[in-house]
Amino acid sequence: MSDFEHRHAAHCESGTVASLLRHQGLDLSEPMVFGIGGGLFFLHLSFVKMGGIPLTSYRDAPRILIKNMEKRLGVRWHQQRYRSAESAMRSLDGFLAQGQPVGLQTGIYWLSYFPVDMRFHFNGHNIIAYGKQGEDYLVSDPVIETAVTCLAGDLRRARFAKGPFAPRGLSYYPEHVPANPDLKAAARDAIRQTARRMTGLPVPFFGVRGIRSLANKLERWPEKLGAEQARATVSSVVRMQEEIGTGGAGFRFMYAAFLQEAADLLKTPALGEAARDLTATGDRWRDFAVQGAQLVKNKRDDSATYAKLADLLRECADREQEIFTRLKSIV
Amino acid sequence: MKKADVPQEESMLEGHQRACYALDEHGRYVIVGSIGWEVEKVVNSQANDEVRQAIAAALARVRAGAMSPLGFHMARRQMDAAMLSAYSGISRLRIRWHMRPGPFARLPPALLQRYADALHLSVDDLRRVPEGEVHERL
Repeated sequence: MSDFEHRHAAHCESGTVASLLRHQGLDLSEPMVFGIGGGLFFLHLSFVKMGGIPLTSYRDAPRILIKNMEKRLGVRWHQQRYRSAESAMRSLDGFLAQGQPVGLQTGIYWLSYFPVDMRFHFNGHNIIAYGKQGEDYLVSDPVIETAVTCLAGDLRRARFAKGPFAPRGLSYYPEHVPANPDLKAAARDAIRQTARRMTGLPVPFFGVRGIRSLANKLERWPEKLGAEQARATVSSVVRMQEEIGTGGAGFRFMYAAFLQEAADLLKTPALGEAARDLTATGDRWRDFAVQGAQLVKNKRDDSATYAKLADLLRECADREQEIFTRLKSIV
Repeated sequence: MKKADVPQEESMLEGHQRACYALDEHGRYVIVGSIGWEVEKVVNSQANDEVRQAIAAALARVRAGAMSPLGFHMARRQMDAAMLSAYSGISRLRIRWHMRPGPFARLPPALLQRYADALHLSVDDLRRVPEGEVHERL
């Protein structure tokens, strides 16, 4: 318990998985976990609404990193959900008594150690419990710079938050970690799959096609939704890109960091060039965030502003189409 | 993004730092802590203003006698009827009915307790709304 090391990370799931694996002897950086886990993606689903706002995501589905660590590196996970908060907390106490740090899915709203203005009903937040202090829990929340103490009542409510993506007490830890996994093959396979998913899915709301469809929809938001709702929707896209903890520009910088590591690992300088180009694309995504926030703040609702934002998105889509198509031929 | 370009601006992070990936002098990625970014603050405020407006509107309706305190506490917990239903096991229709002052006043203690548990409040707090202006979001 006392030998658990907290490390600050950009994103909750990649940070949690990296820390749990490191504790079990497999020391991978957060970008490696994110890259090999196939974390990068884009989707915009105008027909799936959360609080009246369409769903936009710059990463793949929750728990994809956990699944792909199993598939690509042979990590075997213990995963468990619970019927009741009582059994979930008792079970957690049992793991901790054995010195086993445990990953937990939680609802961020109930975690009072978080800044007040960041507490919304989002149920996909991952943290690690690694010990107890009296009734309360020692928690490594990857997106907070130091380890924290989490009140027992907070943790219990957060693990049994309700609504979309209800965690139902989900806890997980690696049961078996291979000593020498084939990182090269894993990185190659992961890059290939992410490139395919970004460029080749036959539906218009995923990958680069999703970025383009977002651009087309965004241009029509002011007339379709009205000025206020249009601003709120632009704001939500920018939040998904920057505010939720992506390492900047919607995970693009973290993925570029992975490509840098992969370039060294596979001795393939072309991956380093792809990392450089993806970084430049991330900078354009940041321009999109800056201009989107200006629109929200100054209530600049003219159609020219929306058209400019849409053009920026199209440029990002074109750049990513080129980069991920190239990546397929590199690996 | 280069290390020097990582924003260090006042924000909602309350002194916490956010981990960002940025390039160092040698063009290698490193983690850099950021205390905040104006862009994040703007979009975060946008979302929080919506919550605060909903709370203020609910409070006004309760004081005008048009809604029961339950409606205010739902707004304060950022819950709509669907979410409170998931937390309490009480149907959305019944929740909407209990958002009226009359039906709420006649609720039996057991049902009040279920609402109080779901909203993480005491029964006493559930039955009233705070005095004065409410600025806190939680």
